[in-house]
Amino acid sequence: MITLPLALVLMGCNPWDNLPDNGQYTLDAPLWDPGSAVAIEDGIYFTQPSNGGLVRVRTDGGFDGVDLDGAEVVRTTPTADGQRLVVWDRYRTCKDPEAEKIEDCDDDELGWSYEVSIVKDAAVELVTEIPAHLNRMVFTPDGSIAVAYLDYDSAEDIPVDGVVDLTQVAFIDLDTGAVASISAGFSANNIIFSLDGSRAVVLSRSQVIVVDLETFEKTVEFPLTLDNDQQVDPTSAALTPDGRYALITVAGSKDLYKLDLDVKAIDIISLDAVPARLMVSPSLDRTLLVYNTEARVDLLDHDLFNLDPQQLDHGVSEMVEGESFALLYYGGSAYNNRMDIYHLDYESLEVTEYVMGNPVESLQLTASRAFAVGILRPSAYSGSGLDGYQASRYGLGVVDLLNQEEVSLVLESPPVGLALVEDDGGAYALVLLEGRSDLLKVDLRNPSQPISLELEIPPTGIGALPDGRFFITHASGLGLVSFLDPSDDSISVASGFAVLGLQTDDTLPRLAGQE
Amino acid sequence: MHTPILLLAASLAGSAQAADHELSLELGAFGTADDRFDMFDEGNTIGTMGLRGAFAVHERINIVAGYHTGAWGQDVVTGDGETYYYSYDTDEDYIEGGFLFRSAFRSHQFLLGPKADVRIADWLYPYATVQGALFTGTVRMDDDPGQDDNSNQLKGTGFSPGGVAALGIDLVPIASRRAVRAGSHLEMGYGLVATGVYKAKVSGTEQREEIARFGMGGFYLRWGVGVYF
Repeated sequence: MITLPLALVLMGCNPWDNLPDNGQYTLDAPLWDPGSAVAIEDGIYFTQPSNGGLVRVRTDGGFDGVDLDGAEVVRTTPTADGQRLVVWDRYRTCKDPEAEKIEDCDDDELGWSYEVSIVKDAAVELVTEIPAHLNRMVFTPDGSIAVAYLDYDSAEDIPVDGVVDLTQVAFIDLDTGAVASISAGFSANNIIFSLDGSRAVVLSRSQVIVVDLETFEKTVEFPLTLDNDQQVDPTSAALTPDGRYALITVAGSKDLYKLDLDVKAIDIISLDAVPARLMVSPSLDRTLLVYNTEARVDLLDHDLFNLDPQQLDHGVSEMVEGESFALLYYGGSAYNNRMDIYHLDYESLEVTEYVMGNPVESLQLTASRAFAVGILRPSAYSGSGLDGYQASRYGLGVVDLLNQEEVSLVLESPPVGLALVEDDGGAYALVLLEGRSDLLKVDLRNPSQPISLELEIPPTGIGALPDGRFFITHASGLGLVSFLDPSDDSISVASGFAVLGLQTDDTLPRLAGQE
Repeated sequence: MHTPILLLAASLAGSAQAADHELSLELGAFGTADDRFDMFDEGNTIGTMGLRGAFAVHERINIVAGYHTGAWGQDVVTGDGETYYYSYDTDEDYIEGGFLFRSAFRSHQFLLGPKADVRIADWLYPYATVQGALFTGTVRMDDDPGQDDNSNQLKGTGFSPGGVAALGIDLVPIASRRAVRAGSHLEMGYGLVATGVYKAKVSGTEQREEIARFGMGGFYLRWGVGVYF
């Protein structure tokens, strides 16, 4: 008899039920950005937009702030080997050596300094300065060298400190921090590397240069046009497996540029249409070219550079490569109601067609290459009846490449994440749906019976960890990440990490008088 | 209910002409000069309520001890933070999309120090007081206030020292020779509390992290009614 009243009293006393709420306090930005997740070997790193911080979340649920000596994170990217994190950061400076707080500094004396920090185990290993406007980075295959360049399309703002050289790219030795800058041409935003990592090919407007990665010096320079008034903008490029030839497509052009990097010669291969994409296949030792407007895939051999066309039912724009095959699909406008996935076998060069229920938005392969799983998007032509029902919804497409079977599942809501996992027990797709507080584990051998794994709140994304587990981010103000161990479907969480540095001082981190 | 207080008062009662013992209920205000406290309350002062006791140690001097408490909280939002919608389910206003978490702070203020008065009339005693303060409290942050068992219910505790200096008056309008008299007091001055760091266990681990830090300072006010004896 006493238990119920006591319980009611205790419920009434629960302080979490009665938090005072007298108004609202507005922060300029959220405490953390789930979309900034970068998983490297020692944990997952998230940026903290409200205070410019960087936090590492460990898989044991703990977390650590990264001390950037007062700098704010601008963006992060993992190194190619997944061991370290590259952090663009900036810190407030004031020309007045007496100023200790930002508010003590006149606006015209206040500025930003930019740097790149290499982070490992939640600590800064190396700091180097690069020009502030270089906002993207690519890495050599072994991850030892980074090339920073300006990607204007993704630049919110180009910071200019005095002058800025828009033709500049910077090569950074990630072990020593040494930086070598070269002028690579206007809008140099496409950089590829030879497989052995000995040289880089930098594409810019109307120009291609080759850089020796030992000396960081230009070894070859190719003009893509002899007419200075003509602009030639490379869109995609790839090196042949032997590293000798660079194949380059150009915006709006049916020409394929073949650059011989050894003897400095250019050939132009005429195509029947503007290619949507090219992909060099090392295992096939050919280059695949696909077109939005042509229903075929061209195979370009690397000896005589002849084109061998394989017919398709319609044009495609995307390619995913397995070891002995390529999957081709159309990822462009939904108004082109193209729902096919083509399997091109490298040995027989036969094309197998799989027709999905809806157009394919993205496609992934399992580790064994036995299954392909795609996100299917609503079709622009929804039709009526059951066809219309399926066409108007997102879906999950599963292709069993061994048994040559496909199935298209209808999803309750738009997907917010898809990851694939495969072990001795089977192959699974991990699917997160908007607004649902669970994770659907779809057995790819029996995809119509998914298992529901409960999550605390609806997720926003999923990513893989180097140890085989997965992390799931959530729309939580204070920070929430779930860790899924696919071997036993156990889920653990890390939470509260976004509060790190919530109430910081507005002091100048590096005083002018001390620099 | 008042019997123990009256008995205590009667046992301690002395001359009404001298400094009296006192027990009062109080309302108060304390300045929040630290901008970091805006997360809990954006006003310049916070309101509190509590008790004050004074023990006469000399004809004109008391030792004053006080305890005050209060709680404040707000929804912390981001984005435009301006777009409201009304939920018929919960009969509450919500902020569209921008809600991050609810922050709340409950404070406990302990004060102790001497108070010296002068007698203007039997019913009027201006005084000055300087008191040391111990400011402790609990910060709570909850990013899903509608749930009782969400992971992000952060509770951090901390404390910090401080002090107040104030001038005030005791008004004891019933100037009779009764041993126990009703009275009131009002004091104003300046208070300052050092920055306190509030740490919480996080993420289901033993790890303790700072979730808030702020000090207090500024205008100080107390008004109370009670018994003088």
